Amino acid sequence: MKRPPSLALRLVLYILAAQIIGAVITALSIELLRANGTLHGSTADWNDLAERRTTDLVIQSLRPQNGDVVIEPNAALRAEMQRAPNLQVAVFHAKSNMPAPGSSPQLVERLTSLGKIRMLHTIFTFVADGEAGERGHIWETQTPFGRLRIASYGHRFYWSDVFYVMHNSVTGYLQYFIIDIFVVSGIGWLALKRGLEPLNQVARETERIDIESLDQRLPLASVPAEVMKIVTAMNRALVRLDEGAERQRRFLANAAHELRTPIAILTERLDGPDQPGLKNDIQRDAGRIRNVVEQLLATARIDRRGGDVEETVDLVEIVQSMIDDHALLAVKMQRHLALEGDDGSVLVQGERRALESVLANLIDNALRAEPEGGTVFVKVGPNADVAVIDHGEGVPPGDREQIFEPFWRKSEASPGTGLGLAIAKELVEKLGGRIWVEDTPGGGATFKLWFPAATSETYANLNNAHAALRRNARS
Amino acid sequence: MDTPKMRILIVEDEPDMALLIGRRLGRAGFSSDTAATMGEALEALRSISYDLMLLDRRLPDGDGADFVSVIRGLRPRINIMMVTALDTNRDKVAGLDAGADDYLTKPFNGPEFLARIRARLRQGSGGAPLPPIVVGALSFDPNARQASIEGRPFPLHKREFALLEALMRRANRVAIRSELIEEVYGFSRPVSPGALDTLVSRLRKRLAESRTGVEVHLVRGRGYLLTEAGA
Repeated sequence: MKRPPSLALRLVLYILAAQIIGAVITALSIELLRANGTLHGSTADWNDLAERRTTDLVIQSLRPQNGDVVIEPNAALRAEMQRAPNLQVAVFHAKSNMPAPGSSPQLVERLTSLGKIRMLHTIFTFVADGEAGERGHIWETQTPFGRLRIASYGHRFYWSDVFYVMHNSVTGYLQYFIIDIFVVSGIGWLALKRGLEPLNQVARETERIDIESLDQRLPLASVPAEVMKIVTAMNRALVRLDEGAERQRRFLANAAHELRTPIAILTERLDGPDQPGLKNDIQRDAGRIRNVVEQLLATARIDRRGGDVEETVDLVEIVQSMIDDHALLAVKMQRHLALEGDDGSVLVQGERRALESVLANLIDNALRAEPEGGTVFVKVGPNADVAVIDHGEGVPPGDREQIFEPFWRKSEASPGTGLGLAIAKELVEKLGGRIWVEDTPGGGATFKLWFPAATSETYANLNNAHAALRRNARS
Repeated sequence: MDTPKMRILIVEDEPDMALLIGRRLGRAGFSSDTAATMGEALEALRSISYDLMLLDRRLPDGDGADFVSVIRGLRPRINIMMVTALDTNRDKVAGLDAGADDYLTKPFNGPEFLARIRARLRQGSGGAPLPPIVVGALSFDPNARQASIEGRPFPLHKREFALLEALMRRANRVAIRSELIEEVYGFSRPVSPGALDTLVSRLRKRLAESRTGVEVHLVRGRGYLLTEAGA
């Protein structure tokens, strides 16, 4: 797997970039605002922005001569002098304060009139030129010819000075900002690392959670607000998983319980003396066990597909085949089994084996409840509903919800009447259907099933499946 | 004449299951052999000409469906019935696609199992005759199309006989009303709604008079069911 991107690294890079951009903008703004006069204590003259460029032009025009240095204006300086007609330049040796040859005599004279003052870096004007006169600038700096003081007077602002200033000030200011930039980036990195520290705790707790400990929740203490959302979402997922696992455990326990009853009855029968009809009884016991197993398998199958039921089945055909399967049993039990309803198809979304096993369960229960000689009716309605009608004792209103609950047992009088109904309900609901019980008019129980009608898409699937069966079944 | 019996090969790796299926077939008048693996089955097929083969899909040495073409190569006329616990529609289609003639899922319904085998063998019309179908004291020979009670002929009118034949072929299973009408009266003529029921009443009377120990029950909404009279 590719290494996931580091949030801390990204944060540090963002902070670095932001600070550098901030420093540049700040430096440039200071220079421009100072020239503009907006900044408090500024000199308010755009021509000041030209001083660095002019100074550089002078340095570029210096030539050595007889151990001394001389100003020999190069083309650029000469062009500048044409543009700024009042420009005067002068160069002084730092130590001796002696002017170099080529310096403007007037500027030299005026500056040396200050006598013993050695100006290292100054902006000046001359009293004689009045308040609105030209600006002067003197700056002592290291040149290829030693330390010199470069003076200029009457320099003029040119638009490109903005970039000049920007370049100079950024390189100048950055050295002051650099420490700040690194300290802030470091603090950002640290803050993030420390801020996410509680997540390590969450991760350790998460590692410990498995199917046996789904009741645990992730600790929310000291989890920062920004990641709280995902941690609480994980906790909610845990609640759902926990509930699901609990349901499964209950289902498993119930299934085992449902199987235990018919197996116990079967064992008892086999241990007892040979009774007439023993074989029929054993067959019925096996049938009940098979019903429970089929329902469990169907449940597992639907679960494995994530509850997605794409099969389309014909309810009428399934009911018919279940009646056919139970007809012999009914005859042997001296009860009748009858189908009511039209011959047409009622297509529903479901799973064949699942529907068969639920129906088998209901028919088996109904045959058990039906008095000898009576008839169990199975009706298929056009609205994808099935009714299994018996004329036995019926289900008292108080029990009509409970009989579908796991582990429910009717009073000792008739044990096992509600056998398999909890599993049947679970299965029917997984298929998106409903199961409930009503009174049979005149006495008895009527169990009803309803399933969602098939969609046009699933119709197509059914047709394809049928076509495949027809194609392949040689008859 | 000593007529050879129809012979069926059961390919099933569960010994108890194989034994029980074999017994059931024996009671129905078929002779059968069992093979626990595909290898054993192919060995048996090389030496004996079986009429039908019951083929499990999950075998120790592979999926039975993968061997259908090999089996057909050895015995082109054999009927192959897949018998398996794999029960989704897709499995069924896959089994039939592989070239099986029919597909039964475990656990299966006994009477249906026998009826499907008989239906396959009737269509396949192999060399040996089908064994008689016996219910109670009544025996029906599907080859000669004769009914007898403990060896004595059971005389019936043409329609009654046609009905008995249709019901006997589906012994212990529901015979669908529409199928009965078709087999007794044929397609061509319209039949009055009560005609079949009247015919059934007559047949019931004959069955009772002759002490066949056979009863025909109405399954309302479906048809009729012929079975041995209850003890």
